[in-house]
Parts: sequence; C-alpha cells; structure tokens
Amino acid sequence: MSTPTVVLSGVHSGPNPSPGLGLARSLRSAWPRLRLEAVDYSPRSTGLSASEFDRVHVRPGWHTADLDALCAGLVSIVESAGAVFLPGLDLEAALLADRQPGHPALLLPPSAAFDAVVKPGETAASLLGLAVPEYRFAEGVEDGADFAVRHGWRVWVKGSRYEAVATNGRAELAAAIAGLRATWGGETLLQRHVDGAEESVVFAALDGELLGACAMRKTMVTAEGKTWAGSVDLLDPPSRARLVDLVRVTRWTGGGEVEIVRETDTGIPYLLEVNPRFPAWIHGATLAGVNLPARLVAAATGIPRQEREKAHSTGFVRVVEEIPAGPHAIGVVPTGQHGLSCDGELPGHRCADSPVPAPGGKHPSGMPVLSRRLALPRPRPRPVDLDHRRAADIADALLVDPYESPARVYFGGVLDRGLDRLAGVCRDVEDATGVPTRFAYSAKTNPDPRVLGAVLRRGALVEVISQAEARRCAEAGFPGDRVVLGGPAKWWRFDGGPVKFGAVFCDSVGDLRRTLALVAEGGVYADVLGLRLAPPGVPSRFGVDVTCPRAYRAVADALRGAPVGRLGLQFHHAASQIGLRAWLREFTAAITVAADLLTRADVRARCLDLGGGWPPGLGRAELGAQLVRATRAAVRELGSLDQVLFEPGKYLVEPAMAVFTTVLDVREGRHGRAAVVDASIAELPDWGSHPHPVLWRAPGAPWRRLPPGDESVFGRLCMEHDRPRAGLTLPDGIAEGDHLLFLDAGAYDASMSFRFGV
Amino acid sequence: MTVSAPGVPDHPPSTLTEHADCAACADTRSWLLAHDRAEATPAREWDTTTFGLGWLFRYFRWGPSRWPFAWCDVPSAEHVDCGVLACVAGMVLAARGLRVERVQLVERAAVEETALWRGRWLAAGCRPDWILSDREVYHEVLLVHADAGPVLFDPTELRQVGQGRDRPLWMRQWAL
Repeated sequence: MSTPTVVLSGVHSGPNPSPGLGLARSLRSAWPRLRLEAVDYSPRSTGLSASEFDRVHVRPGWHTADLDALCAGLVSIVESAGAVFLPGLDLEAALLADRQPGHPALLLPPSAAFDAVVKPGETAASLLGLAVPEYRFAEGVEDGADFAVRHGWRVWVKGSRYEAVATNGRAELAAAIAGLRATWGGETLLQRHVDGAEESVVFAALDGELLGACAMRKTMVTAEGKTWAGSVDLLDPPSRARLVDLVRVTRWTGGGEVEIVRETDTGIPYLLEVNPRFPAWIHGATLAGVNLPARLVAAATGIPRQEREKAHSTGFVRVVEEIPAGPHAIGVVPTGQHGLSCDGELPGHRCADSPVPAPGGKHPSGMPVLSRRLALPRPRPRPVDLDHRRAADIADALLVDPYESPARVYFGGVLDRGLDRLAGVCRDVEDATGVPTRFAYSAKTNPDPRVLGAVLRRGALVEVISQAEARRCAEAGFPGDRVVLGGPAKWWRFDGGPVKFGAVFCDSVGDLRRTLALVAEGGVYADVLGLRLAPPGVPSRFGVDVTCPRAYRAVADALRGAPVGRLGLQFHHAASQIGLRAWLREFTAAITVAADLLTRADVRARCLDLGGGWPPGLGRAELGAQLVRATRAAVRELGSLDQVLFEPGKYLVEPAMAVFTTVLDVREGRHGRAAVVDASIAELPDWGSHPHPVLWRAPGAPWRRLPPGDESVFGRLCMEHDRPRAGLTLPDGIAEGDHLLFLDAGAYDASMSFRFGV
Repeated sequence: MTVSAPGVPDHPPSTLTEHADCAACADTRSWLLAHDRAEATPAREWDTTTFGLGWLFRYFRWGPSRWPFAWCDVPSAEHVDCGVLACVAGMVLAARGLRVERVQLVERAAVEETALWRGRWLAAGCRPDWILSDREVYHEVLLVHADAGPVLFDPTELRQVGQGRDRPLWMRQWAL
C-alpha cells in the first residue's frame, strides 16, 4: 500500500502568508508519516524550502501557461501520487472548480459556492445572519470619492479578487483604486470602514456537510491587518447553525474562513469576506485542539488518524523563523533562466546579477497575473455625452468662442439652483422640527461679488471670519444683523466699533471672555452670542471641548452671570472630512455635555449653528435629513430653540465655476498618454481635495465628459506635482488646440488661486 | 479566606468629599454624568467587561491620590487611585440605573510590583498603606448587578475580576 499523500498549494510564508505551510504542520501533527507535496508558481515562494514537505513542484508562472494545461498538469501531479489536493490560493481554487468540476481528489468548493461568496458577499451574509457594510463598485476616483466622502473617507478599497487597502483621504483613495485595478484587473469595490473587533470563523466541510469549525479573535495584527496572534474559541450554537446552512446550501467542500467585524458602537456583526480556503493561521486552531485540515483529509480519504487532536493552548502567536534554502529560493540564480520572474509576476526584474538584493516579491504565487488573465476584457471607455441641463449651463457661460484661455467660467444657473436647494433644505428642517432655519453663506469660500449678490438677493445670511470680510460683505449690501462672525481671529484689526452682528461665535474660552468684555463696553452688539463646540472625539484646533473637565468648569464660570441676551452654540466640523455618521455622533456628544453645562450655568441656548463643510454631492433630502436629526437631538438636550443656522460654502459654490483650458500637447508616457494644458494648479489650487470632472471638446464638436481610466492631464508649470487630474481616459482623437473644462472649481479653487508662471 | 499580615482592613470603602456650596464639586459630578450620557452607545448595554467606562481614562491614569480627595479635585487630577475610580464609576453606573455595591478586596501581588508601587506612592508624597505586605494589597472594586447577573467589576483595570487566579484573598461588600 502506497504512503498516503496530500498535495498543498500556496506555501509562501511572508508578511502576508498563504496557508500551505500551516496546513502541512497541521496534517503532520495528525499523521507524522504522511507524505506532503507542495505546489507553487515561483521558486520565490519561501515555504518551498520548509522541511515539512517531502517534495516540491514549481509550476510555470501564470503568464506563460495555458490555463487549461496548467490545471490538467496540477491534476496529473495529484493523480499520479494517488493524493488529495488542498488549495491555498483562492484564484487557483476557483479556476480548478471551473475547469475540473467535481474531481474527487480536489478538496475545494464547487463553482456555485464561489458565486455565493463573491465580494461583497451578500448571499453568504444573508445565510450567516450578518450585515454587509455599505459598498459601491467604483470605476474611478470620481464615483469613489462621492461614496468615500459620505463615510468620512474611511473606506476600504478591495481588489476584484484579493487585497484590501484602507484609505483615509482623497489621495490615498485615488492611489488605491489605481493600484488595485492595475494589479488585479477588473473593477474595485469600496466599502465603509467599520470600527470594531475583528473575528474569524474557520471551518471544514465535505459535500455540504460541516466537519468542524471554531472561532478566532485577532489579538495582534500586522500593519496590513493580517493576524499575528489570536485566541481560539468554540463557535456558539446559533453561529454554528447558520454556518451549517451556508455549507449545506453551497455544497461546500474544503476549508473556508468567514471574516467578521463587530461594530463597537452598535454591536452589529458585519461580514468582511468569505475565503474559499483555509486561512494562513489554520495551525493556530490546530494548536488549540481543532485540527480541521486533518478532519477534512480523514473524511475525504478514510485514512485513520494516528494522533488525536490535542489542545496545547487557547491561543497562538506567530514567530519569524530562518530556515535553510537553496540558491533558487534566495535569489542567487536568476529566475529568468526558468522563464520565471523574481516576484512571479512580470519578467525583467533585477535578480542575482543586481548589486542590490532582489525584492522579496509580494505575490510569488502569481495571483495578480492570473487575476488579470481571468478578468473580462473591457473596451476602452469613450467620452460621455452631457445631459441637456449641463450642456445648457455651459452654453450660457461660454458665449464667446474661442474663449480667452485659461479662464474661470461662472455658471449663474448652477448657483441659482444651489440657492433654491438650500432654501428647500431650510423649509424641510423647519417643517420637520418647528425651528426657524436659515443658512449663512461662508464668504471666504468664494467672495466673488456675483456670488455675494445672489446670496443677498435670496435674503440669506453670510458668515465671515474677519473684520475685513465683514466690511466686504457690508459693501456688498449685507446689513449687520445678517452677518455671522466666527473664527479664531475675529477681532484682528478691530477698530473698536461700534459694530453690529447677527451672531458672534467664540472659538475659545479666552475669545469668549474677550467678546463678553467688548459687548459690555458697548463696542459690539450681537443678536446672538455663542460658543463654538469642538468635536470631542476628532482632533480639531477649533472650538472648546466641553467634554474636558477643565474646559467645562472654565466655560461654566465664564457664563455664570455673563450679560448674554441670546446664547448660541455652534458646532462646525466638516462632515465632508469625517462623514455624516461620525459628524452626528460627535455633534450629539458635544451638545449633550454642553446642555448639562448650560444648566449648571443657569443659561439657555436659543440659537444653534450647525456649521459648514457639507459634502457638495449631498442632495436636498440627504442634507435636510442630517440637519433634522441634529436639530432634534439638540432640542431634546437643550429644550426649544429660536433659530437653527448652517453655513454652506463649498456645498453652494463648488459646482458654480469651472476652469476653461486649451490643450498644448499630447504625449505618450510609460504609463499611458497625458494631455498638457495651459492651466495649472495655480488656477486649480484645490486639486488635491476633490477630483474635478473634466469635459473635452474638439473644435466644432460638443462638450463630452472624460471617463475613468489611467491617463492624466498635466499643467503648464515646470513642477512635477502640477498634475491637476489623473485617473482619466483621454479620447482617441484628442489633439493640440482642443479644449478641456475642469468642473467643480468654484470654491477654494477660485478664492485661493494665484498668479504663477504667467 | 485569610490574610496573613497585617490583617484585613477594618475601614469602609473610600468616599470623595463634597464641599458644601462648592460649585466646582457640583460641576464635576454634573460633568461626569453628562459625559457618560454623551458616550452612550447601543453596544454599551451588554458590555459587562468595561461597562463603557473607557472614556474615563482619557483624563486620568491610575496612580497615587492624596486623601482626603474631593469631587472638585477630580478635574485637575492626572492620577487617581482605585478608591477614586471606584467612587466615580459607582456614581456613574448608579446614575444609569444599575444597582452597584462597593467591594473591598485583598489581592495577591508580586514582590517586584509592591516594591515599585511603594516607591511610586512615597515619591508622590502619599502613604502606601494600601500595600499590606510584600505580597498582598488592598483594592477597591464594584459589584454591579447587570441584566445578565452580578459582575465583580474593576474600574481601575476595566475588567471583571474574581475568576480563577484572580480570586481575591479576602472580600467585603458595602451597599451604596
């Protein structure tokens, strides 16, 4: 009788390891004399040098091979050894399930099971009784940014097959989308980050029957979020029952892992993903007394177990270990001699003949290559026609053609519609809460006289942060009682007054004392005098954190007996930076403590200012709903209010201007084409905060919108960072003399633009 | 249970002084309760490990407190001992509607730990009388009657105590 054999794939053991080596150790602990053979797709897969394996097979890289032939070759290895095969690579398993369906020696899930767990895994989540974090598939940074800004930029960008990158800003988001698309092909998935403790459930099944499972809580993770230590526990009966359902419905065979995060604030368990193989930490479960690989092999082959499962501990930790390795593994022999590259991906990297060490290779098993090969070919996207309203806005603004270039273009119709929307939001909040609601346009965002005039005509207020801005608004026609004064430097160059404001919000305890003194002296009159509250859980240089006990006491002392007619509270922190959910949490926490403080000081708040920083993409209903929630929370804590204010800036004017440019050159580069235009980051200084949509027009043709892609628009300056837009597909026919129009340039792109290089 | 030396404590649990007509004392209590309400989350309802009191440690660390200690001393304190933390946590949890009892313990400690703690307390000008011997220390915790049952909760370490090797050498309950 031949020695029982198991073939394992995916044996790389690096910072992001595959499970092969852990599987080998678990099987070896059950059967000390079991024959173990390793399969991988590059000699750089470090586990190939491990002593656990009796034989290793380095298969041709995925870029060189015919996929059917590669699958057949792998099956031949398994069949000739009379072995069973445990995959350690997701895509290899999916490929085998598709090309070798139902093969009894391949211990992997059927194709339908892969469909059930494909990201974001809604089918699997439903079976497991888990929620799925909000998500969106994104082609490019424009639609990605629109999703991310709603979640405070704290999102995960996930590759079509593997890898997830945490992002926390626009630049990181753009880099992650571009990087993952280039590495894995296909479209990227964006998912809201969920704050909470991560858990995993690992299981083994054969033909839809669960053979065993256990839970693991990560106690240490690497910078990439990979498990470095964990505690292993039994699976609770309800979770086990749901797992039985998943396994039965999908007719699962092989190992699997369910990754979960339990949200700290709500306790809701969310599905992160389901892996169609054992995880890399699988030997940790074995050490805790649950040897799932052995149960699977025993059930599939009937080989009697030689060693019983034994719990050595309830947890595990990883260590780094040096092992002997041959020249192919350590990079002494150029892998190009074997038609393989150093990282198992693209040939041509420097290896043994290089004076510097060869890179370790992030993906020695070549999964990115296989992923790109399996991705469906996508036609090159073409420019998109504009909707009639957008086309009409541009036609109204660009009456002269050819236009002076570069030039800032003002869309009066867009501004009017924005003002209509804000008026509607005010009505919605007032109807829902009964509190009179008005908005104060943030003048610093764009103090263009056309904008101030439009705001004035609508009867709205204006928000300023200096005496100079206040004078400018007065010159534009705003009476003092329609001006809200805030910011840390409000009394800078103050001439002593007297001066009148609709509201003054103080930025610190010192500012509060100073302002109270000015009011007492008669230099300042304010209908509302108030305090700006800092968000307690988010770093901010502005406002007073009343959740700090010393600040709480200082504010209480300052307000006791102070000559304040109508007291106001202001909470101003950009929801476009922290997301709507976090904004509401921070607001509620601050207002809850502030309400108690005011009670202690025996004063009442009459006015609430909810500040600015609202994401420009929010519709009337979304913004209105957020303001209603905040107002209701405030009324609950503070009692009835006379007035609610909010301070839109970018929200109103960002879409109301564009920058018109002319193409000077179209060049081919290593990473695709780029168009050089006569504008620059001097005309688009806020290019880093949001991706400007770009329209293109050939002479005599209509404007069309450029779709997502991997090409760029460069500015006219001799500066490396003068790249106002990346992540576009330039049209085939773009040429010198064509025009590009950068939209959404009406906020800080306008007010902070500067003369440079002209 | 027995304690070898110098014997079980005979004093009641620590209490914070509340000065008559002191706005600062009242402000402090008010701040603590408001802050705790501001930190409320749905998940806190079933958290019998920390009881959602992690926010306290944004402002204080465990260390020597100079007694007598008043409520108005809390805002300026950087370090507070287990007696202060038990008083503060007990008031906050009781305000949530939980039935809370004060509990005095004598626990085991390592010689190295007690030597370190004794030095730290003396350096701060505080009496290390809670260190009963080189291997035994006095400690104050809470017995919290949660929905799932009574929990011996240590607000100093934000965890449940009394299990396995944590079993105290001596224990006494006091109703609040």
